[in-house]
Amino acid sequence: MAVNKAQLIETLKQQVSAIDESARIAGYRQELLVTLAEIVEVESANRVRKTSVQQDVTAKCEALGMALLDGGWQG
Amino acid sequence: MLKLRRARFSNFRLLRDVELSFSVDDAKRLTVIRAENESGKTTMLTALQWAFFGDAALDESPGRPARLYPIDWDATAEPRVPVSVEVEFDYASETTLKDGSSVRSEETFLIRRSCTEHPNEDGAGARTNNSLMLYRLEAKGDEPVANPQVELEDKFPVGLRELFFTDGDRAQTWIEVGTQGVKRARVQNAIRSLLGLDLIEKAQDHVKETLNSFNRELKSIGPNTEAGKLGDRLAEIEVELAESEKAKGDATEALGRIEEQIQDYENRIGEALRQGDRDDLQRQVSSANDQLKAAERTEVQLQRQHSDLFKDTSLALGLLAPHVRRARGLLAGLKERGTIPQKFLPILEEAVDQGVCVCGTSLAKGTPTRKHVCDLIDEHKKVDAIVDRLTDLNVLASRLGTSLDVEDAVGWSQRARDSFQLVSGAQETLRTAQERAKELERQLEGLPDTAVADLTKAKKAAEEQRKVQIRSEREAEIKIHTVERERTELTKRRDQLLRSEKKYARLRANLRAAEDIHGVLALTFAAIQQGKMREVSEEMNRLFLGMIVANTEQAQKAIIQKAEITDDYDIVVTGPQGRRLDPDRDLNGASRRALTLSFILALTNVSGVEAPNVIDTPLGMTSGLVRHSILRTAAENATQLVLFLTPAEIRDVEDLLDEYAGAMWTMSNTAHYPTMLANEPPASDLRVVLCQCGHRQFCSVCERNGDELNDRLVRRPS
Repeated sequence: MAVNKAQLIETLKQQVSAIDESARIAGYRQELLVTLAEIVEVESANRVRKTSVQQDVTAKCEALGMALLDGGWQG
Repeated sequence: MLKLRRARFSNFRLLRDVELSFSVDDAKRLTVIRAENESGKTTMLTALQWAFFGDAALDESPGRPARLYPIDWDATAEPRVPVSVEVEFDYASETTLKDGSSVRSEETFLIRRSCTEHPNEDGAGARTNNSLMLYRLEAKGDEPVANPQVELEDKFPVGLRELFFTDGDRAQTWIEVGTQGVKRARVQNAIRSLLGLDLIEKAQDHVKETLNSFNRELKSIGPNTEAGKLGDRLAEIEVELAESEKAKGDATEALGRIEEQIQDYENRIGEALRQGDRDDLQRQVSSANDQLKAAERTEVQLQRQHSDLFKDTSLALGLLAPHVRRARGLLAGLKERGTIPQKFLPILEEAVDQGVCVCGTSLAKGTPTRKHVCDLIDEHKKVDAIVDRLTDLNVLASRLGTSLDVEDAVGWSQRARDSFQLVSGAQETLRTAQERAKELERQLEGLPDTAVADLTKAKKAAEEQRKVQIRSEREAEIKIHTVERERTELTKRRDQLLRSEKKYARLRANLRAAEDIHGVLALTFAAIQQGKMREVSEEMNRLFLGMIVANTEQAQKAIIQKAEITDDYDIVVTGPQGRRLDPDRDLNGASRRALTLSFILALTNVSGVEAPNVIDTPLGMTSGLVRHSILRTAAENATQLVLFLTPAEIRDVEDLLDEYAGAMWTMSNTAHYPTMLANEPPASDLRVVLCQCGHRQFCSVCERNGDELNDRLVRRPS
């Protein structure tokens, strides 16, 4: 309740549009937004339950990195 | 979204047994609980907070515990006081899906917080049996929720308690109590919590740490080109391996052929041995021939012996015996009749033979007697030949007489049979030897020209070839093993390098991803801080100016021109000529209360966090247009508004309560009888009694002295 996640995701979505997708892979913005939404969930859960948040966030970052590689991103 | 539905209080101070419902009507979001002073408003506000947040809501301090049980509780009769508060509420949650969209779900929960208090002499009470239960209310029944404290903290963080449960008299504390730092922290915490800045910042911290770890890892690896060189050598190895494998294959193939050849030889030798060795067979033929010759010799000898048997006198004697015996009888008769023999001649010849005459005279050779006798014999020879012959026969018959008694045909026959068997046996042996010799000759003729020895020689040669091919195969295998081992090592090394390179690429991708995430979080943080905070600030200003009915058309004439939230989370009020007003000193009570409510409503509106605003005496220190404006603004901007109002606060805003209130209750304190309450309450102890009288009503429960004369009120039928 403490945070209106839908509103937060909407704000994240607006900022994701600043990412240059042509320098990444097709569909990257959506992947990025999903990852951010997942991180928001991870942080929310950790706020009340004290989860392994650092590992979880790292895993999300790696998953997005994997999506980049799988998508043929060369850097 | 959190919305209160119902609450029940038991032995919580004056609320001994009170139950009421809240308006959940979106069109009439206001619930009014009317109560005079000391009639349970603050108690109920505290009880609601206790239900959600536990003892943190009691503002207890060490050594100064709060009392929950009713002050007039008869501890002598009942030393333990069961205290409980139940709150039923709706809760809507949002789940973010993979595609970034969210799904909203609504559920109804029931909190039941309880404890047992043990009243003591100093008025406090030891608290035991603290219990918190949270139930999910479903059609099929109430389902207990695990970890209720955690679940409640998730749904309604304790840090936001004062934002949503506001004591009007203390509401100004948001802006007026304490140092600037304390106020700033309070505002900052509320803003950061509700706008999600805390969450974003924590996410940024964690992503930053992830970024750092990626960077550290990346530095430890670095790019390399050794894998390419190893790849060249591995290509050469593949060629060498192919050659060695071909050599091995050739050797194996040749070996196979040789093995087959050897096997063939062995088969042929075996077959030959089964058929017989030619030399051995030759030897057997010779032996058989020797045996055949021996058998022939034996057979001939036995044949001869058998033939001789037919020349034996015994055969003649045997055959002639009956005739001889008959002839002897006849001759004996002739002799008896004197027909034979011519007595003198044989006698004479016998005497001559014996050399003695029957008279005893010597007939020795040369003697005259002998001569005489011989002459006599010659004279007698001239007698009849038949008589002579008969005489001879008689002599012969006499001579044969003994032999005829010894030899007979039966004895000869036995010997003849024995001889025949020997001959037959010899002939059988001969026949067998002949057949054996013939069979061996036939085998000898059928034996292939190749001799076992030749085959054995060829086999040995093949076995030598096999050794050669085995060596070749072994050498090829060693070569393959060596090259393969090199290939394995190089491949391992190459793969390590490639993994490094892959890891390098993956880390770079991870880094890129983490940087993007961090970047977006930073942008989001800034957007919220700059955008949302500005929105909150502007909304607060709008609400505040509306509440205090500021003259916005002639702003230069207004004492309060603007309220805003600075980037440092300070709430500042600006007066004429841009002069900053000190809320503590320059604002009256109504304005301070309005500013606090404006900030709370603006923050909840902009954040989109929907929760009830439960406010005790929000309209105190207000009057007239400002009171009216404050209530309208609150009623229009709150998601759910629960107001504890005194009758005095209700004055002049009855129309708004008519317009916005979906539920109304009146609480009365039995202690006020008879000083203020008109009718004797049903209970004699100190307690709050509840009735459903609205702001324009009174009843026998809540009727106060003078209500009958109050033209604003009407009696509600019991």
